[in-house]
Amino acid sequence: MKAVQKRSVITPEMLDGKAFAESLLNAGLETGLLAETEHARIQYSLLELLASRLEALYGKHTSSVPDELAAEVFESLLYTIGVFLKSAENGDTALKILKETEPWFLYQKGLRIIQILVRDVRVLAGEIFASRIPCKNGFYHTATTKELYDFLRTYRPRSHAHEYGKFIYYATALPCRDLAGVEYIRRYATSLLWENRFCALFPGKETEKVLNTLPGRTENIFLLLFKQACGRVLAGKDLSSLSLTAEDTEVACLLHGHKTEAELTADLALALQIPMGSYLAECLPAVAKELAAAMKRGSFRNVLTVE
Amino acid sequence: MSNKLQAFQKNAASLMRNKAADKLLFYNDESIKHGLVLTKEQAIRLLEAKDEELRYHGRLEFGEGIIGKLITAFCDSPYMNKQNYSETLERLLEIFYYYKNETDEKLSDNELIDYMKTFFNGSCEGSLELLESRELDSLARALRRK
Repeated sequence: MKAVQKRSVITPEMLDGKAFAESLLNAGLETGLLAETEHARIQYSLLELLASRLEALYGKHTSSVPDELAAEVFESLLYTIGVFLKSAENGDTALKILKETEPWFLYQKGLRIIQILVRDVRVLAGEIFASRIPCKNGFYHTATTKELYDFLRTYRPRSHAHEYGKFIYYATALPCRDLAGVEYIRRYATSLLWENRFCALFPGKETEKVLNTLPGRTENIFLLLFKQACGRVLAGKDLSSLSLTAEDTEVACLLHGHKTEAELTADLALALQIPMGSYLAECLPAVAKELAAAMKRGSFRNVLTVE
Repeated sequence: MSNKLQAFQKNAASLMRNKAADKLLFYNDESIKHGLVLTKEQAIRLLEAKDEELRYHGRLEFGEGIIGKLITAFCDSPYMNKQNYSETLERLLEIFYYYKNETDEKLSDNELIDYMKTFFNGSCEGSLELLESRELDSLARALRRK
């Protein structure tokens, strides 16, 4: 029997993944699930928590801090509470927890989750380093060998838990716009590891050829290889290699040039045996779109590495 | 300050001030020994003044706050009397926050209050003008040069 789920008045669209706790409070007010007096009470208790956090961090020498510093710690505190509240089954339940639980308890729970996420990132960073692909892309190189470790070294979950991303310049194929702090970095590292694993499926010489013939040394390397693999499949070839000839591209255009993006996506997913919901499945539509457009424009061979 | 924190503070301000005023009145137990007492209205006025100063100097206070420390430090001053008690505390607050910023956070609260008390009771002979414009100004300059 299908599980019956109670409908949540607060919908996911009302909530902001980067600023979950504030968006939850706002959504509570908007939907009437939170009275103004309750809203003020929660805000007051959050400020009390801020005061105790500031005291713990800086109270040894001072009873006041510059606004900018207080605002950062407050942002960090709300982020940490939000990390815990996200684990609730829906927005209504998250709001109920926020209303009925001491902020200090929520903060401690959030901090615990953050510590687990940091540990995950540490493991992922090690795996990414071990599986990195030799190439001349400088951004990729520093992301896989240095920047994730810089994050781990400098991340301050007790005062700046919400900070993220300023360390890393290399973009993964799927941009992550709805997370902040260590949640963002963990998503980023997970994506990067998926990308590395895909790239490692092909012989080193093959990947080197594709990556080094293209002029862009800052592009996402996974996308270049994934596109090339899709090109091979469209030309009716297997993935034992990544090489494509001009004839291959002509064959691909003849066979698939008339297809829509959706048709091409479905064909590629089937041919590459990509499981639904996987990282590759999420990346595929954008690649299929680019390839379909290139075939229609007659520039298919220009978006691939052709011998 | 971030809009987020500002909005939170605005909503909770009166609730916070009332609680803080009650806490401030506990300091009367100490100051009454020197004939100095704050009324609840004066405590609220002082807290409002403190909030204004914090806003003006771009700072956020936490913990017990500075007024209690100022009361403890200055209530035994020979230059404090019940006629000027509340007003003097208000001026001391202004001076404290001004020099907290001017000294580039190089002094802890207690260190700055100690300097203020020493100057106020000593070379300034109870003059807030001299404290502000002469002694603390020289101190701040010297600290910034370090």
